[in-house]
Amino acid sequence: MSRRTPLELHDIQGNVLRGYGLPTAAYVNVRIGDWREGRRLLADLRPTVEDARPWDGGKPGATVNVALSHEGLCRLGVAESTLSTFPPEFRQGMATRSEQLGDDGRSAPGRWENGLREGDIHLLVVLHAESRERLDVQTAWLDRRVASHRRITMGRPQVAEVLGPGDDPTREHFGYRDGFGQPAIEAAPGEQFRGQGVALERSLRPLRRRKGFWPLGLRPLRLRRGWRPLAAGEFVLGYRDDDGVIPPAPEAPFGRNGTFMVYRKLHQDVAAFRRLLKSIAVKHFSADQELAAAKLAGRWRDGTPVRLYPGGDRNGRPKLSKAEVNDFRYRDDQTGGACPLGAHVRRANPRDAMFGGSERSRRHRIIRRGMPYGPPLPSGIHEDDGCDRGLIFVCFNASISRQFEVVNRWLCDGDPFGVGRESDALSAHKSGLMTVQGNPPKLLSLEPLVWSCGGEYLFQPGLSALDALANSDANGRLHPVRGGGRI
Amino acid sequence: MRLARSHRSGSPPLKQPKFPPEELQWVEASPRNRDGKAHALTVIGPMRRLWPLKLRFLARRHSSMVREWAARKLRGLSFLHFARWVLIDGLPGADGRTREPLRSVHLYFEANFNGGFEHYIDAFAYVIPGQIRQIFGGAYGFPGPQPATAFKAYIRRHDYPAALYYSAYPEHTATQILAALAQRARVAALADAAPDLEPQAFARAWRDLLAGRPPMVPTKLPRQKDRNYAIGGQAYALTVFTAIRPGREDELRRFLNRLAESGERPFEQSATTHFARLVVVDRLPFEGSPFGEPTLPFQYLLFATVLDGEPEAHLRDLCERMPRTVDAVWGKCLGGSEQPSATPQAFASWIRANQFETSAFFAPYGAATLAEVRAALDVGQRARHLAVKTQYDTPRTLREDFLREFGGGRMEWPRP
Repeated sequence: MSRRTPLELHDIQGNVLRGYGLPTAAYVNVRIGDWREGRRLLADLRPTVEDARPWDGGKPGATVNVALSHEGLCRLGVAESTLSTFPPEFRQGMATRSEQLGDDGRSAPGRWENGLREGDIHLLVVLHAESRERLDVQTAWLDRRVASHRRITMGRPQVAEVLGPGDDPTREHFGYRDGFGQPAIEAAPGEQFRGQGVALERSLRPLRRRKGFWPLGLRPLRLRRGWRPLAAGEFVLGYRDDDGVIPPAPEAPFGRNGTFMVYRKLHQDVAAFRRLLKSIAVKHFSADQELAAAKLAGRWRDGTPVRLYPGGDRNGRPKLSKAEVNDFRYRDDQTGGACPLGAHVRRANPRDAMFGGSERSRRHRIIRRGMPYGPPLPSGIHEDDGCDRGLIFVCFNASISRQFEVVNRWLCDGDPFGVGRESDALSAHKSGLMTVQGNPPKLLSLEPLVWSCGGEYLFQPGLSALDALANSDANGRLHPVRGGGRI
Repeated sequence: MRLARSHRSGSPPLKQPKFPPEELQWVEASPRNRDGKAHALTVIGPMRRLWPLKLRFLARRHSSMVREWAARKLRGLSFLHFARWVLIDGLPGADGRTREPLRSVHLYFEANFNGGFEHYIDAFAYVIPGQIRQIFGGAYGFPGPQPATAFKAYIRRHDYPAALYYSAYPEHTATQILAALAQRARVAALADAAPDLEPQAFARAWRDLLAGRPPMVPTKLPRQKDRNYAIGGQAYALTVFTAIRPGREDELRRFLNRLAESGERPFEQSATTHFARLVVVDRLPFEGSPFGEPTLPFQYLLFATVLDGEPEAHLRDLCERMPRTVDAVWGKCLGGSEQPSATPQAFASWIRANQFETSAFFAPYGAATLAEVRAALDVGQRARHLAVKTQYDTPRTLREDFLREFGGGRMEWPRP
């Protein structure tokens, strides 16, 4: 595409465009009590913050990234004139947006955990490491850094780590392989596969042959359906978005290479999920728990899409490669006969499921970088052991209200998919029903399985913006550093 | 402040469009624009000189079949209860009746929709850009449906927050209502046939009913002469501007504020109101038209409603059922009496004198009255409960339960 702008990878923080693939992480909330000290701490941390350039010398053992909440920016003394250019949902924060997020009942902000409530998170330092030991070293290092500054305090680190064994590290607590729904991004480093971007309608495209193969330059056309990556501006500020324009962004230096991050701690009741799975399998699916799990999620627990393999025959289901596991559409399954209309993956990334095709969903995609926390519940146990476990949900997008909040609304409300008030089975915090379409349709009774323990809307600035923040003056004016970026 | 680092290839930094913060904030945040799951959008924008001619031509030329065909995508999107556009060429003058022409004709667009603003406008911009361009194309400041970000900013600039917004079925979406109406017809047909069906045949029919999805597009509808009526239906779009008496504006605002804050729902008394909104218009948007910034001699009260049947009978009915609100609201407007509810006929004819003709009215279930909609929603809910309860019952028990619930052959459409 001629309009493509190269990404300034040296200025974008790492883990946004490409996952680190490191098995453990700690999310540390640093509370800022003094703006001068806060900026000194930022200046201290700045040389260690990882950028998005590919690693030439192999994967590092540990990484550091930072993100700030609106409260954090205020406490660093950023001027109101600059803060007012941030979008309203970021300024309001996650707790204030609880109505839009459907956070009520057990997920209501009044019941959130200490340290994750409104205004609690100022500066979130995200540490990734290759092992738990290395992560402890990193956390101790951060503790020392923080302790060297007055009126800066560090909260209890929230540790998250992959659950699965080495060959299958992406399982989450309910037993599903996770992380398939990542969008393909134009000009971003790393591999991209069919099915990750935007589904193109059937269109006439010239047959691919070398130039001069066809006489008189007449290249025959062929009906093709393809995929294209999303524009980088959907996820990183300062670049063209999927409409080909630069979307509104906060004032410089925040308006370039930064991104909005959603940080949310979701508790998963694994015992309740197992009981639910058992009961609906016995009642509706001839005791086949795997089939029941697949219909709830829209993917089999090994990641194979139900859209492609809807039946219960396990032997007829091949192991799909990375290139095949996302290559499907819902256009030919309008009635939900293969993949239920209200299945989790069909809501979270509807592809071309809604009337209007992929045009309806392409502006509402997010990059997910979450990780499970807490010990896994041993297999075969159907009673809660009282341990706290779940998912640290992290996502990146250029507009929280247009992307994360819309996707979250789709999970809570089945109306856009024609299933009325039904909410997603795997993220519901209330009882309800789910229809598995067919003749006759199966009506499954759902139980609350997941609820929010709190979180915040954050801004992950570009590295030059971090430099400017660390060098701002007493009036909150920011001083961009010449030749910012990598030190 | 300049960018910290210029573009890597050496080209100048890309120019960012600047929107003032208030434009980023949509008034959906105002709870007044919402009633349950229904959201109100009220857009007024000035148009270029010749554009209204084109819109008038389009509005008259379209036969009902053509219009229905044009609306098929909108039906498919299925998140709109009712929408309309109206041409505002003048506003009532000092006598509260005679229309004083505006320097440029304004387009009034209103929608009653479900779901979030972002998703709603995106669907408009990407799925029906042609129709959006056809309607808004001649409006000053209209940037085109795509990119959607600029279109959203345009809508935000021209959107008026409602002082009072009412939906007769706040907990139900348009999709649910369409499905319920279709399902009610099927349940009624099955209820008629059930006593004569064998249990096995009944079970098959019941499962087919549950598995079926309602058809989205009706095939042929009779043409309506009065364009305020929905095509093929009886739902009526009433759009009225009345001038507020000078000096009484704050009193009216205070009353509407109190009404909204107290959670009172006066329109609930009316058995024929689907949706209603009251908006105080104190300025008209200015987009740099050659006519200069419009100045309004008065503040205006916009009353836009979707009702069943005859508008005059409906207005007289309002006087009877919610006299306090009618007096407190329209008693403060020019042209009517201080106590309009005392003379319902005079109130109805005064309001009708200030009515604007609808150019296009989108009403996916305009054939159903409010009572029918409510009855259909009730049947839908009962059918669902029955489906959950009986999903693995024997055909015989299923038929017995069904007949107990829907009393074979006794389903009547309610009459308001």
